[in-house]
Amino acid sequence: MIGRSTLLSIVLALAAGVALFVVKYQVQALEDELASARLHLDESREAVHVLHAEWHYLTDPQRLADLAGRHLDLRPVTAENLVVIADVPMREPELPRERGGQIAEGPSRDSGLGMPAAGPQR
Amino acid sequence: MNTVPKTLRIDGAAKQSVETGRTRLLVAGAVFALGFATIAARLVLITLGADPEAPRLAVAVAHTPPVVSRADVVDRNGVLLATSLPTVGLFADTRKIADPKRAARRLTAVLPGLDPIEVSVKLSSGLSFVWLSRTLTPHQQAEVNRLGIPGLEFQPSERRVYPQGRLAVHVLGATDVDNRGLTGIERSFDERLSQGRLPLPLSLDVRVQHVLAAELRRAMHEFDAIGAGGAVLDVRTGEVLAMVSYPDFEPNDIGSADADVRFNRMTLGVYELGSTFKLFNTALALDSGKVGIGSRFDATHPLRVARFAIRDYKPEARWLSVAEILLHSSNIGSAQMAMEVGGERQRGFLEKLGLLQPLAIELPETGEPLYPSVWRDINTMTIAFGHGIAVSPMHLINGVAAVINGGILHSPTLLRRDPADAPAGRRVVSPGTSETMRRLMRMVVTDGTGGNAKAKGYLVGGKTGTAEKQVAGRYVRKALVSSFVGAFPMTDPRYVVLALLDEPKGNKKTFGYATGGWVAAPVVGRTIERIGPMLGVTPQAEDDPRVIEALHIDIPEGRGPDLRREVHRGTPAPRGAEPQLASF
Repeated sequence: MIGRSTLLSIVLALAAGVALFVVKYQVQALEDELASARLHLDESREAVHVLHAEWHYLTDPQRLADLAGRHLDLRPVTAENLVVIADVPMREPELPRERGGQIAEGPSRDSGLGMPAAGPQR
Repeated sequence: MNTVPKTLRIDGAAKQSVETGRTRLLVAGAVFALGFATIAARLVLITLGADPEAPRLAVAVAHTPPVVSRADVVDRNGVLLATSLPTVGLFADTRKIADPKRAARRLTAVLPGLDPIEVSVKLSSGLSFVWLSRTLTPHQQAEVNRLGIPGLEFQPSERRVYPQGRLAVHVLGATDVDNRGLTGIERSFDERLSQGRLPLPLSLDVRVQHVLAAELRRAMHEFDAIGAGGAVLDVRTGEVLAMVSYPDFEPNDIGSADADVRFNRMTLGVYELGSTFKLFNTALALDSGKVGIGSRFDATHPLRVARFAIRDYKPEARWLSVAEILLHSSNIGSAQMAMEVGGERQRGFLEKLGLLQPLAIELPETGEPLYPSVWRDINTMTIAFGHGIAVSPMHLINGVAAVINGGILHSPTLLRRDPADAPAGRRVVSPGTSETMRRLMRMVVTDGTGGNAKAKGYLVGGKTGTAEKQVAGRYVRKALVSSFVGAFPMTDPRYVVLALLDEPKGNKKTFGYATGGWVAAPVVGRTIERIGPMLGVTPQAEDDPRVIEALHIDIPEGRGPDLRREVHRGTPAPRGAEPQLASF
């Protein structure tokens, strides 16, 4: 005749044992995952390191200058291309008669930053 | 069985021993209970994570070792100048190799870079460790692996790589196969690079370095020079933004580069730099208070001292003011200015500018300046125009920076400096003298020998220098060192640029001249035109009244019967109008 408390103890012990195994395998799986993640991280860090070096190798100024000269219609910036912000003229207010009397209309979207009015499109 | 009484009565000694047993049991039980209670409490504490001493996994992950052991070198904007890449080396344990000849043949079939005979000799040596190749590509590693020769083994290693190639090779230096610094920054910061993991930021700017290198290379080819050098220096902090020396070499191939190619002309080379020294002479004379901007000196005839004659290259043959002496680069006038101040003060001034000691810069390759041990009058006179004293070009550019930045000498550096905690520097000339020098240098470009250094919008000022090289104690007329030192913008100088060509030859475009004003000044002008926008220097209109006011200087004319006004203000002096006896 088994007492109630004994039965309870046996059930609890079994439950604890099962829980222990479940947790243990879970931890093992997580540890495997961590190890492979670390390995992957190391590989990625190495790849990033190599790619970083490659990026700076490929953007070496001499190479960029050669490529720009071959493929782009750009030239080095000179002093003539630079203007101090204070020297940029304010946009002239639009005259009423040019807008056909529609003074109330807000600034048109195409007139840009103080640029001269666009000529006929070529 | 029934005769046994229900209660056992024990008396006397027996009772005594039972009591003792009980007491012991109680004590033992209490000790165990305490132990279990402690363990339980500790378990609860650890499980709840309340213990601050407990190690944390996240910290351990953050401390993983870097990919490679030697730190990177980067420029001031973080562009990679030197880095190490992981690679594998191939070595052999020759005791395990059964047939060395066959192994060598098969190995060199997949690694054509190796010499079959050499490999065969190595494999037959009987040693337990012999390097066959220090770096294999992953593909080569797979190929060698596929051969399956026992005794061939791989060793993870790293290789130093310079993504910018030859750019700044004399500054960076190089390492040997074991990644130890041999020259340049790699050598002087060897310990820092092999122990630290953070990149080492230099003061160099790759873009500026590239522009200066390209312009110097072009001039070197155009004028068929045997070498060239140049530098860009921040006058406020002493940071070197660019340093170029030609001829150069591939840093990964330093083993096959000969001494002339490895030679850093900017720091290790010392040269008699000629007329650029007149800047120091003029600054000294003005700062001494003995000579004013309008003081005049007789440059009518060559100066005869002892057995020497000091001549001007294109003699004005009249009295010249101090401004005109610089404008026409008169040796006769410069020598007299120096004599007015005296040799002792001149020596003291050059000492103060650091021109008599090896340059204090973070490179192992620095040259010892050459100067007379006994400072006679003739030395004072020739040193006035840059002769009889040899310093490195970096000495010159650093001294010029001090003369124009308001008079403060900074120690030049190749490391990035935070402008806020840059060392204070040392005063060498008064702010007033410095301001006059700026105006005079601007005048040399607008009205004098430096016209080819003009860069629209950047208000360049400078001084030309051309010196004959001494070969076996004699000056050689055709072997010149031609240079130009320029700064911009002269209203408030930010950068000094130096260009120097070793033995340039004049061509049709320069009417045969190979002087500093013809070969080196255009390099400085074109460099400034290109780096000005990069460095954020605001261009200024040369005809702006404020600019004219800031840079105006009266050129007092020397008196004398032969006043040729047309060569003075307004019209540029004839090109190449520079003096002789090696200094222009």
